[in-house]
Amino acid sequence: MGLAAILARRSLFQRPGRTLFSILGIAVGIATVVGIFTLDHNTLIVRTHSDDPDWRAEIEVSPSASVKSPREELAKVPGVVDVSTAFQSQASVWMGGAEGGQPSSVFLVSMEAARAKELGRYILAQGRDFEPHSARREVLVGENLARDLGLKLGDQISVSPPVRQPAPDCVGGQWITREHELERPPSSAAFEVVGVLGREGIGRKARGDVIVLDIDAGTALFEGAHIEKRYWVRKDPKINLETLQANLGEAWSYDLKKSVIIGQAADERAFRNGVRFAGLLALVLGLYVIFHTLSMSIVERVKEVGVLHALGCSRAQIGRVFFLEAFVIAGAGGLAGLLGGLLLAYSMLHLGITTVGIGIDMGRSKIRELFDVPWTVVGPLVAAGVVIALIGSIYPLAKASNTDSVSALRGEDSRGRSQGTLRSFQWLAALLLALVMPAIYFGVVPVIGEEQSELLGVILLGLGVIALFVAVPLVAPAVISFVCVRLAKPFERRWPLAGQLAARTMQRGPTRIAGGVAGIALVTAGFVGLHGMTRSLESEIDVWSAEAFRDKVYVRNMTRANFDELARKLHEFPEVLGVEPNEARTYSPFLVIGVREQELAAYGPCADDPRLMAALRDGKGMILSRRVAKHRNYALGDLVHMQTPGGRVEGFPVVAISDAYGYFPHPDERMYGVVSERWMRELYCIDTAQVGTFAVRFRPDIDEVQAEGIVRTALGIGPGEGSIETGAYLYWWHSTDIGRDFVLFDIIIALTMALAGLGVLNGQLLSALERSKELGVLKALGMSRGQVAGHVVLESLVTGVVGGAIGALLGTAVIPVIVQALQTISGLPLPDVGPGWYLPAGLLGAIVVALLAGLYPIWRMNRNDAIAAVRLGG
Amino acid sequence: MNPIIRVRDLYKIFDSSAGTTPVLKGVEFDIDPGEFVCIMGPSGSGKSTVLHILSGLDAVTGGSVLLAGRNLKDLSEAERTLLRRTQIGYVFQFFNLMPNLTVLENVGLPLAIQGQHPAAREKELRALLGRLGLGGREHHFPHQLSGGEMQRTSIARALAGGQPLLLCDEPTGNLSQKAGLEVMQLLRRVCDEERRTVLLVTHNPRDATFADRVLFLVDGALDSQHALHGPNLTVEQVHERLAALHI
Ligand SMILES: Nc1ncnc2c1ncn2[C@@H]1O[C@H](COP(=O)(O)OP(=O)(O)OP(=O)(O)O)[C@@H](O)[C@H]1O
Ligand SMILES: [Mg+2]
Repeated sequence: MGLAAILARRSLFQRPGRTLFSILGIAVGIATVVGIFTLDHNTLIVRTHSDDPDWRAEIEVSPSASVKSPREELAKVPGVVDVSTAFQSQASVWMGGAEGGQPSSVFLVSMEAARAKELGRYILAQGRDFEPHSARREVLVGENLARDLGLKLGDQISVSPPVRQPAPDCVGGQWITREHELERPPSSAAFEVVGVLGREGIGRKARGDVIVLDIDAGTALFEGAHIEKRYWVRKDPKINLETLQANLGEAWSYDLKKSVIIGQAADERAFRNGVRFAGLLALVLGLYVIFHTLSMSIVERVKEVGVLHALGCSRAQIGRVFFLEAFVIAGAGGLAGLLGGLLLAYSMLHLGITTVGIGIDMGRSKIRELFDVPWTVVGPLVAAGVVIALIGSIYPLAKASNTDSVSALRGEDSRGRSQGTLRSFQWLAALLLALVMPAIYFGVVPVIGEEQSELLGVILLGLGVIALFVAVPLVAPAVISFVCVRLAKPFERRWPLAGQLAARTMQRGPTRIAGGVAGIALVTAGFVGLHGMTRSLESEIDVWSAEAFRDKVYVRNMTRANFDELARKLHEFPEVLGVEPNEARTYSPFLVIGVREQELAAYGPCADDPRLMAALRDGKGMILSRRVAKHRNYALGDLVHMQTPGGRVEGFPVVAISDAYGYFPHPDERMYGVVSERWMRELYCIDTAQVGTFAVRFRPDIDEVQAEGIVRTALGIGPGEGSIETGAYLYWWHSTDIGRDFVLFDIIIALTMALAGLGVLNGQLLSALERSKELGVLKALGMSRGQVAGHVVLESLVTGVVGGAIGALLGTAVIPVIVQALQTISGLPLPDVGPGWYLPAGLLGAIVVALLAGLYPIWRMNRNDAIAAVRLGG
Repeated sequence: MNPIIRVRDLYKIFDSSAGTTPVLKGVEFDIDPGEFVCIMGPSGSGKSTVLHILSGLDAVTGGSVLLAGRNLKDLSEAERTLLRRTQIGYVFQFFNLMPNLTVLENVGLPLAIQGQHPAAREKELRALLGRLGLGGREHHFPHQLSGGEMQRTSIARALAGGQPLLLCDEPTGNLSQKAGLEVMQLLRRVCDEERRTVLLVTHNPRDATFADRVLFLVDGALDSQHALHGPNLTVEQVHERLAALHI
């Protein structure tokens, strides 16, 4: 075995505690990041992989009548990177030539062959893809169809459009069919079967009775027939969904495939970016802990380096020893972190904890089947972590100078001399962690959504927090240790020895103490800041719910009855202010609900300005929810374009922006508009006279039990029957929902808390090892276990108090920044309500963690053999 | 014959927060290859400092030090390290064993540093340990040894590397009369049989009698007039000289 191997092996195994906790530090840091990204990645994969055989890609848009050449115009819309045309229809198919046998009815998809692959919505079981724009007329057939007709590759089939009803339009509340679209005899054409579709995507459509044609051939075949061409749009990943929607807004109606927008909606984006950012913090903290540990061990190692140097070891040789050791630690930490992180992500998915919310059942077999590691992100981050840990362990060697080795040989206390090395080491650490790591991180990790000012705040916040790392150990060790010593002083009166010892070790290791304090402070700041954010979200719910639903009672799925009759019964009670029906709804371009304007008179904007009611009814006015107005950039007076069933576009002027009307918990949609039911009837032929689902608005001073009682009495619904929810219950549900969703943050905080604790633990452990001789002498002189424990506990306590206090203050200070950033990202009007009781909770938590971190060092110190320590000599 | 060590006008002044301490003020001496030289002097007179400087670990304030014909000042850090590795075996005043390594591993360290495999020469190393009375202690860690055992381990380490120059800083300080005598006999034999040069620093007059030449470091200078020349020095001669120099 070579020199490096002997020394490294001994050093690792003779100090199992140090080795283990160093590895643990790296591992927890890396595991947190790996866990977060794997979780996020798999959340999207599993949720996107829906059983729904529908195959629509990304965003499907259809042009309004004003669009002349859809494909070209669409390609010009900012945020659209690709467009593909397609239509689907029923068709008749039979074997052989034009006049051949018995037609079967199939589902037909006609699409651009060149883009079919990219959209990736079908797979081939046999044969090949059709050639784009091929004159040869090629067709892909579904598996079931191929079996039923006994089709082989190369066979000819004939396809003809179905004999079908032309699409009607709603005009003045009447369905009408335009003359020229009436029935005409369909043409037919022969196609060659070139491939058979597997049972995936389009291949599952109509249980496999499906054919796929090229768009040109399909268009020619369906010439004159009514087909609705759809345009599949691929979104630029850097553009927010809302921005694209706004860009499309005027001339296009669109339909989002739910799976695509998972994780893309504003609040989900904010949440996911927040989680990612927390990942960065965890990684930096993990590396900080390892740096801290390493810098502490420099002190211990200076003597070792001195001896080796005196024995004729070259720097390269000494470097190799430490490199090997660091490599083992960093490698083991990296590996353990990677595995731990994957395990963490996997188990969180199983528990229904995801990056788009909590309590989502993803299906166990699906998780097992689809679980995938995002190596492109995870790989570089793990590598960066390991490399930085390596640099951190090699660097001190380069700095250990000759004078250090002479004084080490003289048996001098090397601590004083190594402070300079420590200092420059801290600088390097700060540089790496504050600049290099975030640079790598933001290089590797794509920010979800648009990179704009909204993220600047978050990044600034991050840099501010990292600056804490730079500032505290570099600038303030003296200050920190001064404060710590002052705090420890009063204890000296009660426990003279422990107090004095604690004060002195803190005085002698200011950098170590400052490092521990910084770690604790960061996590406490994270805790307080994050909970300040959840409190802000809660209070937003508070404000919103007060306007939108707290004084409402929701009735669902009652036997449908005449609305006027219902309203009359309810209005017999003076507490009832209005009734909002919730069945007349349409989704173009977003959720639009038809209401009776006269029912709105007693509350909300209509109460403030009664002219609004006339504007709704006669002026085709629309009241937008705050969120839709914000995201789609609508202001008062803007026209909202809505498409009618027949493809006409109607403009609705925005007359008010308010959440007072129209919110309904099923579905829980906050982006919607409200129009007079008159237009639902006249433009969409929706029956508005009968309702089974509606909301009853009460006077604000009524309590929920009374309100529900009134609704039950008025409508004759017995207790326990029917689907009735009060707004108060909804409010409770929404606010606990935030708590549930943010469990993920709490998990991350807990992990980083463990990291900070590890930092303190490592520092104390190394200080114990370093002082083992001194402690041995003190024990030999009669110091008790209790006294040993006492001085560590005291040190922990002081570290916890100072770190916790700094962190709590810092956390409180960053809440406005977080809230501001979140507000920009999510578009929610978030108030800053401060940290509340999370401030003392954070402080207390910090103290508890610091105290817990002291346990192992105490045990280690008491196990330390006094005789051995004294014997070892200089 | 060229001297293996040539020291001329050596000055060493320590600068520290406590003030400047001039320790060596114009030390001059030569040592020939294969010679056994002893340096004596009061505590704090700078004996250890001389050895540190000779090994290239500490820098001089003034003057020149030639080791095997090469001026240490002209050598780079890496060259001094190489010189130390190949030329010098060092017994430290404060043993400085590696606490994590066993006795055998500590002794094998110079070989490992030279890039050899200590395991291949384990028999030799064990024999060396046997000669120093450390048989059976091979797998002990330093904290499991007595003070004298630690010291002998450190001597074994200095001998194991096979370097031609041995710098020994009070190698018998912690040893019993008998053990000390054995160590001195071993050093003498190493000098005679293997023609290794020994530079010994000691407070023990008996140890000094093993030397070919005894130098006295007083007031920062080596008094060559009072140097004793062997062979066959007696303890009385040494005592007499120490008394004359008020050491
Ligand atoms: N780094 C330093 N800064 C200031 N003075 C120092 C330093 N190192 C050594 N000295 C001083 O140099 C002088 C010589 O020290 P050295 O260790 O060489 O003495 P010595 O002759 O070996 O003594 P002893 O016989 O006690 O071992 C001492 O007075 C010591 O105080
Ligand atoms: Mg000395």
